[in-house]
Amino acid sequence: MSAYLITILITIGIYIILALSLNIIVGYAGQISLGHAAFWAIGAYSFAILSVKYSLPFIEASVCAILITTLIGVILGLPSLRVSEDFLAITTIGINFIVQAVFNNINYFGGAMGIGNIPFPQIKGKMFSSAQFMALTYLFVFLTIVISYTFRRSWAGLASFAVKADEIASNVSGIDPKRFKIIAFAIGSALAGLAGILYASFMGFISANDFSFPVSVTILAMVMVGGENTITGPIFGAFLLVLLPEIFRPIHNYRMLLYGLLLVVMMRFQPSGFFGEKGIVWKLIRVKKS
Amino acid sequence: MLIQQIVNGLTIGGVYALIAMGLAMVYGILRIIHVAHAGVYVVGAYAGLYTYILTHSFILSIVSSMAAGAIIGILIQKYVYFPLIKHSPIISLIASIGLFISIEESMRLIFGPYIKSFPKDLFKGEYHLGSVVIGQSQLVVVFLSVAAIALIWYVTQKTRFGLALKAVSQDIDTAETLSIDSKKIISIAFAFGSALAGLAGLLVGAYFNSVFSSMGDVPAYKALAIIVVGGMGNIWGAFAASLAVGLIETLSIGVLNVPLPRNSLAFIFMIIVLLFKPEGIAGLFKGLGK
Amino acid sequence: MEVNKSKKIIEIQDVVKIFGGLKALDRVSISVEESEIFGIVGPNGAGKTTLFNIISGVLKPTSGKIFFNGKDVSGQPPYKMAQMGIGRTFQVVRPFSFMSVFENIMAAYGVRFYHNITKSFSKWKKEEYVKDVMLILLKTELFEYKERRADTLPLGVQRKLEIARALALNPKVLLLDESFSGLSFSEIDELKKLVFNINNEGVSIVVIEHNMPVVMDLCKTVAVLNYGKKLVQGSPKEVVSNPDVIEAYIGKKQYAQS
Repeated sequence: MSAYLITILITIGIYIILALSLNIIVGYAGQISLGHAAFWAIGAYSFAILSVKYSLPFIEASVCAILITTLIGVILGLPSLRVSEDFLAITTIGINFIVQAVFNNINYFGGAMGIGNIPFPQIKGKMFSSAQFMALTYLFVFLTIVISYTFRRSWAGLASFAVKADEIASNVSGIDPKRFKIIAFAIGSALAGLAGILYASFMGFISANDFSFPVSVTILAMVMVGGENTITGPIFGAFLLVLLPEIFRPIHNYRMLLYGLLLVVMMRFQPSGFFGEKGIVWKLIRVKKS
Repeated sequence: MLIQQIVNGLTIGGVYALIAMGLAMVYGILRIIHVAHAGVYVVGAYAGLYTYILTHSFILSIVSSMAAGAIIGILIQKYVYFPLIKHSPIISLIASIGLFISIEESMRLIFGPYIKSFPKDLFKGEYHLGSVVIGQSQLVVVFLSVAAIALIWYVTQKTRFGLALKAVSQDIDTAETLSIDSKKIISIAFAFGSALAGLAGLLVGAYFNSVFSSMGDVPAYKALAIIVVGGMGNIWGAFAASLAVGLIETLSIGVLNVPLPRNSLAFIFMIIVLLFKPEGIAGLFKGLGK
Repeated sequence: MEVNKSKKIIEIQDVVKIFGGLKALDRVSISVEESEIFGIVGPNGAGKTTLFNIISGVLKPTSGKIFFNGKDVSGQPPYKMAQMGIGRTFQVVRPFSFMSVFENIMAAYGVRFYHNITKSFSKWKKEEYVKDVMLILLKTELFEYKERRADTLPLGVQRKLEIARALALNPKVLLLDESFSGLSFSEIDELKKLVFNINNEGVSIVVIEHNMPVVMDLCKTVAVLNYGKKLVQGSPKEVVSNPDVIEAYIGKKQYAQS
């Protein structure tokens, strides 16, 4: 396999984890988040600092990074308990800008120079090959799918859907909406932290601009274009939106325009996404069958 | 020095107000987070710039920027937002972000990626009041912002349209029973708010003497922070919040030397306000009405 | 009057609720006895739904107290009220729209087993639980709709779904907020039967209702609210012949008819 292909596949894998983790917050619990890149950044930076500045080995640094991201995710998810969904959308945009500004301007986090020399994982003193790293990435992708699936199938999933459908009705049905929103934010940010570890370790160098607000938009677009509240949808969305720029390389100048138009046209004519309940894919399959 | 900073802060705040008040008006009636409002602002800037290049009349520039803004606004409302009104707010939010990207990219593809400036004969003078220096452009910006805000006040408080707008933003169904044509009111409000965004684009372009396709990036999200501080649908809350953000930015950069970038300050201010007054500062301006 | 305190399942004492300076409820006191069907009537805007919102914890009273089973529960959040055994429906139906009828009921049914975080992530498809939910579906005549998305159902079925969802909590009290409005005659009869059946199993029921014939049939005791105040309380017959009540309803006869 060529290095280019491996890089693309690893990138897709990381975005699948990001899209599925955001889907737990947006698709399962119905909390709009436009700042998912911030949690990705917190995972990546925690891992980078722990392994570069404090020389923690891969596994220890990873576990700590996930714990840190989860904790901050829960804290930053707290506004969702106080404010309505439109406020929450804007608050999460704000969180993204502020987190980026903090990483970009405070020297402890590398400032505008970012953090370099982040180590690749090792086994018995031997560095991973790219192919091994890819296997590791997809192991985590698999883990994320299992978590998404288990959550959907559990009663907590049912309770989250109820909160998403109608917060007051869920509340008078004995479900504490706060509890299930926090659970969604905790799991969603933990998995975003996992994606951050993979990204930092694979790139070897990170800077705050890798995690800017447009990245959050892209992750949300993967969830919505693919089909929120499904598992296939966000996976497909990640493939689509990572591959599109590669496919459109020859007409590179029009790439962003096409991306913008894709979002408008999809939301206008296919609001439930490709794999959503009334999604275009199911319609096509049905037509073929009949 | 301090007075100079306050004057500059209020000037910027006045321009923010032109964008944010239109955005608040749109949110008030459709409950849509209209990110593409900043796209309208970019279109207005280009329309005004090219009118000035062709005619050397600033009055005509004002007219064309407002007209361009109004037309784009009506198109967006009619063909994208209105059909999506029954879907969850996240759908129209993503459509709006897609529109914003599409508009900015179209401008870049049509007018080129470089910063354009106004012909040299526009606003060169300067006025000295003691130690305070006020440029002619600054004076024009302040004058026009004040005039536009006075117009908003007149239209919303003193006309039948203003009354109908209030009714529609409180409850569309009730307004309909009062035989108010809510569709028409929504279209007019959209056209009006978008014309103001177009004007704001021209004013900012003239003030900084630069028009470029991505000039909407910062206002797009800053205006959202402002309307949250102002209490979402509240036009006068948005006005007050705009001036506050303009002042805070200028003073914390110019006087206090805060180490964070200018564009994250609005969001930090927003989060501080949300922590203490989750409903925004609107309550402070009850006397002024919605 | 107060014969036996332990028999009161819900006791509201001097409850006041103020919205932006307006008194929606003004020192209202009501007590509901165990296993009775209690009616609350009154013109629109009298504060009936506000009272339900306070009993179910959706709103906190400005002052006054609510006792449930003799325990002070004033100001508890809705989910705690529900877990203690207060189920309710809404005047404008609020099913979990994109979930199936079965899932709607399972979400509420599972609360007592899974609400604890350590248990939330276990599978809910246990045979005994599914069987219980099926029994609720049968009792409320929703069985044929069990796989249908809630928002695709006709209004009458959605109203039953809300009752079924509240029943899934195994409640001691059921609050029905105009569950009979907008239904056909045959649907009303069906629903009446259901309410009696639920009541026969020992569940106390409080209904807000505009449909006076339904109130006369169902309720043992009726309280009349007007402008946030309790006008009278008594048997349905006493209440409809009370001059204050007749005055409150003058020109508003449409509520008594239909």
